[in-house]
Amino acid sequence: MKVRGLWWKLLGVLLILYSLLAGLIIPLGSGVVAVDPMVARAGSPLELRVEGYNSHFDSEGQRAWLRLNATAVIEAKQLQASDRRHLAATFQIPSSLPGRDTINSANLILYNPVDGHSVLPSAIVIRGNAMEGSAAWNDDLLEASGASGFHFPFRNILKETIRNTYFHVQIWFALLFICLISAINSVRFLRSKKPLFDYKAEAFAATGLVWACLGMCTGILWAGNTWGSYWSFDVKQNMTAIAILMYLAYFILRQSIADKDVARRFSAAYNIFAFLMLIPLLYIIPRMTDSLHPGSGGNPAMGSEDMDNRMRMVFYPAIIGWTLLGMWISNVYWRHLRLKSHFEEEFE
Amino acid sequence: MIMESKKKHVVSVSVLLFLMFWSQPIWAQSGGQDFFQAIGKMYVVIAVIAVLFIGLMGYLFSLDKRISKLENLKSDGEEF
Repeated sequence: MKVRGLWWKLLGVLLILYSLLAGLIIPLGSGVVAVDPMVARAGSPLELRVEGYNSHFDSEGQRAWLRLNATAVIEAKQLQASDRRHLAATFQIPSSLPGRDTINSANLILYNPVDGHSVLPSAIVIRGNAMEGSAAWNDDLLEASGASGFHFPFRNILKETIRNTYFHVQIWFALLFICLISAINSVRFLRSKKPLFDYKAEAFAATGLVWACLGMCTGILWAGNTWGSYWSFDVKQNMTAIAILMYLAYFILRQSIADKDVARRFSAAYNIFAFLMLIPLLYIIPRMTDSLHPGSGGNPAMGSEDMDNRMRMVFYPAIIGWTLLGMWISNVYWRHLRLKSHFEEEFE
Repeated sequence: MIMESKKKHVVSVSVLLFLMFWSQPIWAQSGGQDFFQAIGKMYVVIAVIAVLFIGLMGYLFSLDKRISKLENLKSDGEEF
């Protein structure tokens, strides 16, 4: 028994297995989940109770700061860790604030040698009494230094679901390659009129459609649990829905023309058009307006805010793995299509 | 023949189930991490992976059905 092109099929499976295991096992870095209270008054002491995630507040060298802006920072006078996830930080908020604003939002910054830095943006609102002066504030913040150990970054709201980068985002990238192969085969069919290329184009388009449906279902789940709504009519969500309908139309077109040769030529031409539309739908239009997705409305896609080098070490193999798996399934599919037409001719 | 392929199915399904259950202690072992806590929304990741798995199996199933159709055709020459 011999499997054709075994090595790349095995490679695909191994890469997916690697992304699955690495994506699930590598822990998140430390972060701050919540603080209490969320409002403080200038000039009064503040005991801030901090709840951490994957943190080690009880380790040596724990420090905490409240930061209004780059030059206005105060450090906690006293720290009391009840366990590695709970910390009580006592601050003395100065009676004068650096700005004239009576409502100031401050970030909480924590540091210890085990976790490195963790930040809760806009952790607390400091209400001032219109006294201006930055004397009590300084810019004495510890220089950033990394945490020990191998972690994925902790992001508030996302938390552990940042791992879905390898289980949702990757499938959309793989889909682009699968649909590209489908379009290339349509071009080859139109140039050579060999049915083999038509089988390939159909099979890859079918896999692309399945990949898109998987990407959409996983996206709906992820959105419902992070953005608060399963379908928020985000521009990228709407455009992917259109793209899926476009590829559904490809299969309806194939079925609806009785003459086989005409059907093949029409659907090949349509398939090229569908791929050319896919790129603006998925990658250009969402960037032109505001979107919840990263890479839109001026956010850099794959920027350092969304992904670091540790995540790339899992993300890129995941894309290659899912592309290869898609190629494998399409490979089985077009061989089936070729056999089917072979039989059809035999019995006619 | 049919019995053999059924046997193979049973084996592969049980291997999958074994892998799924075996992987659980790995999460538990990462000790000291707040790994499976609901505040970390880990269940979302698991649900997403489950959707991927179910979708792939559904696609595999439909391919299998198509190929079985061809095989039946080969043996008795009906259909089409």
